[in-house]
Amino acid sequence: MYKTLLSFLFVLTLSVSTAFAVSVTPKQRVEDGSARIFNLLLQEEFQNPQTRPEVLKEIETELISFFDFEEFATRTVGPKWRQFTPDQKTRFTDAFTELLRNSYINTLNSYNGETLSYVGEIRSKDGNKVEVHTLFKGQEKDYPVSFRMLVKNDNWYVYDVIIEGISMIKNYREQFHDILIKAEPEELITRIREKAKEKKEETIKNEKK
Amino acid sequence: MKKILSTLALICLLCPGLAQFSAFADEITAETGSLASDNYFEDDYGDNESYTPYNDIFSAWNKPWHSINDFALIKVAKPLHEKYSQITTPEVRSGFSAFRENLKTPKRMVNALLQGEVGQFFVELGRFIVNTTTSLGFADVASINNKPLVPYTPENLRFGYTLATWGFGEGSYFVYPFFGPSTVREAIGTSVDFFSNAFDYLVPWYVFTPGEVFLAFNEADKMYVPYETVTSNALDPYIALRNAYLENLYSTRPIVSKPKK
Repeated sequence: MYKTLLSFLFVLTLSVSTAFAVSVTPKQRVEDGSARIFNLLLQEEFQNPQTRPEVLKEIETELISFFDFEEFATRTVGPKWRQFTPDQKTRFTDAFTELLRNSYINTLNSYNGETLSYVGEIRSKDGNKVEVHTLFKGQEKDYPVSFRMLVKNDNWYVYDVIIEGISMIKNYREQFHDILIKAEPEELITRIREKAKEKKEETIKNEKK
Repeated sequence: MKKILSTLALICLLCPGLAQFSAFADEITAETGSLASDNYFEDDYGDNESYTPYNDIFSAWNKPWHSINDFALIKVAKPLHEKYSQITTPEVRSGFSAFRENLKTPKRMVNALLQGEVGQFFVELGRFIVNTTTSLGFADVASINNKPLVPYTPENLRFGYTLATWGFGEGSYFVYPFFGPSTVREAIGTSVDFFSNAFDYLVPWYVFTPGEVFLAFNEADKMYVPYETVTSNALDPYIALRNAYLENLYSTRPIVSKPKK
């Protein structure tokens, strides 16, 4: 009896997991995710300095549900990630997420109704990784933007953005690699924190202008 | 004559880097819905041990020049250009930009021929005639309501790209004084392209040199805006810029059929 129940449960979990297997395509995910963020940026509340922080919070929620920052952070360190202690891993991910947030918050201001259009995609053989190619239509020029995505918790998450052939992960990895040759993980975390702080002060300075 | 000599000298200086020409990476096709090659996603695996550093044999030269270029662009050109933007209208600035682009047409036509791009050659010729006769090149009339028969790719019509189509690799990273990031191949290309600047042959050097400097200054924002995008969020601006420049260059590589072994 016990055995039957167990196998029954096993079958049930299997069927549940297939039922919940990724129901959105990467294309839909990119189109939907970018449209939500662009919509928020176009809201009048975003232009108004008083209501702005609220919209920023909403944008952040969208970004968190669209990007996998942990995956992002891990990959920027590369092979040396294994030398990080669990505590360092957490602090690194937090510091790096903070740096990304503070760096790109300023670029949100320059959004002017540009659109993102789907061009194509390529998939890995096992099907759990995909690179979605899009075209960002700028004011004067169009920029090729690609999103590298993977399956996690039954959904597609972005773990790298490639703009004009420049991968964000690779760009940070090059820098972190150089630092980690000479220094301990602890110093890298400190430097990222300092940079994040510097960017934050810049934002405050820009807002006062 | 002086120019030829100095270019030759530069090429000689860069020759050690030629030995370092890197091989072409496997071509990547990115058609809709196509399957990636085995190692396509590999370089982003967090635990990938095979780390190949960039070819940067000139780093002792590159790093100080990076700092000088940074100073010239951010501390000198940018504040001046911001003042200049206040006293000029966008129309004036884009007019001078178009004028500058139009003057580069002979350079692009020569490279189109060297690359065997006959279509591009005639596109350039047509654009040059239209833009010069209608506005002396101050407006890009040829692009208005333009539906080109062949995709127009002016950014590839440079001697560095011509060398790439002939099978030359990028060579080592090289910071060109005052021109910014480059590679051995691209630096040779930039130097050779100087010769086919129409402006140079039409006017004496004391008009040409300040004219060229002014036209470059007029669109300095096209340099410092992307430059700051790359470097301002970086922990190490030198490495960030090197990576961004080289990755962008690799992504626009011409497709060259590999010689059979």
